[in-house]
Amino acid sequence: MSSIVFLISMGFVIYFLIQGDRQDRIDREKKLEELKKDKKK
Amino acid sequence: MKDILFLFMFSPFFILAIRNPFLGLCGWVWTIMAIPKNMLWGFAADIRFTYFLAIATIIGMIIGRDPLRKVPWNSLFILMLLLLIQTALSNVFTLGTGEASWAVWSDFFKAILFSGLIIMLLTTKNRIETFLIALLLGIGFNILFEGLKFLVTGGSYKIIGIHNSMMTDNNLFALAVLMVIPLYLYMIPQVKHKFLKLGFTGLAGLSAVCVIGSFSRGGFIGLVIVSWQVFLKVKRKLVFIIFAVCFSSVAIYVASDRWSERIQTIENVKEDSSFLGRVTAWKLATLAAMDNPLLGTGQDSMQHEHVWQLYYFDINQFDFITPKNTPSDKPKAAHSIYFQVLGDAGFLGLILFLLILFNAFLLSRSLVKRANKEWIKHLAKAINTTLIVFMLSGGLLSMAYYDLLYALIAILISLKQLNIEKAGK
Repeated sequence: MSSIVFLISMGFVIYFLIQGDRQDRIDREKKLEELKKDKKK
Repeated sequence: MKDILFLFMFSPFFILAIRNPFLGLCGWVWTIMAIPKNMLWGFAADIRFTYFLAIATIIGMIIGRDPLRKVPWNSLFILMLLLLIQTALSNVFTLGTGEASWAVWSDFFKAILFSGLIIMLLTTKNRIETFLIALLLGIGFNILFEGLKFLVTGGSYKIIGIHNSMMTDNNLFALAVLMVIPLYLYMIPQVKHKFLKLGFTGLAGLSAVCVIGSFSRGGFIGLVIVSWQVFLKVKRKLVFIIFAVCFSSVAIYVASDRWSERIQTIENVKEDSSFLGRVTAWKLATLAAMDNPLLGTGQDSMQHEHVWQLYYFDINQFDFITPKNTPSDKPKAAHSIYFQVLGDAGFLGLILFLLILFNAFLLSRSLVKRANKEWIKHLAKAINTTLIVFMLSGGLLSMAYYDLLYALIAILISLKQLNIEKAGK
């Protein structure tokens, strides 16, 4: 029982990490654009 | 079969860590808190998951280009590094065994390395909250099982701690759980997923159950402190009072007489043998620090019989709290973060440790007052409560090198940097 719950909770963690990764890609792109703008200035 | 399935499911952590190192930190914190080793009995039980995740994270940092990465230099982090160096020097001249002292230092080194990486990588709201989700789901797994066992057995099951972790006994587990309650309360309104919101609400309630089920007197005092801090900070005070009264009634009904008897010993603490052992350990730590004010006796050495007996001869120099002491041949853990550091690293070590706690407390307070984003204020408030609990309950527990403390201080430093950035824009 505990093993099944453990594996399910692990699955949840991986899911939220992937979600976090998606948002992070957007944040990084924004940051890169900011850096590019700063360079042009 | 289970080990193979686990390894298969764990492999994404490594891939994610190399691809995006901040996810390596999230996997790392989940591993520290969930302790997958306790779920495995086959070949996978011997694999050092945290070690390999740390390597994957560092490889990811070297090969990847992360525009959001920061430099970890900060006065608070430098204090942590100084304490790390100080404890290393203490261990060079340890009075105990080098093996035991360096084993404690090795864990402390990992905690400081982990904190440095947090300052470097957790540089956005999304990153910090993903990290907190991994942390809370990790420890939440242990809270869920221990809390349910206590409830299902009608309060007769005693929570004894989590093996292969820093929460190895009931007192340490109670403190670790108390430290995450404010984080659950911070995350509940922040997360968008309904299941996660519901899960964190349940886990926050079960955390309080776990503290009661640990039969830890220090934990019980900590629970009162957390409840008071939360009461001061919640907007709906009446709802909180109704919830607290209902919860306490159920807890008193479910908890056995054994629990009530245990908590009532707080009143006669000076006669209690467990407490006398603690006071003896505090006196010996003070004597050891007076003998070696700059370096102490080395980490963990006060728990060795020959070191304990060395200072026991002079114990009558002190009669603070109570003149009674425990027999000389029984070394005890310091049972106090302050006396633990005092014995391990001397007065110099204690000063560094207090400076870290004091500066972290001030930083959290200043962020609560001056942060220009609401979420930074709320998270700083939660960490501030955690620090208060650690500083007060930690006075009765040996957990000075607990990795979660240094991780949360590192998050405070990240919040400070984020706040400066936001103010500059």
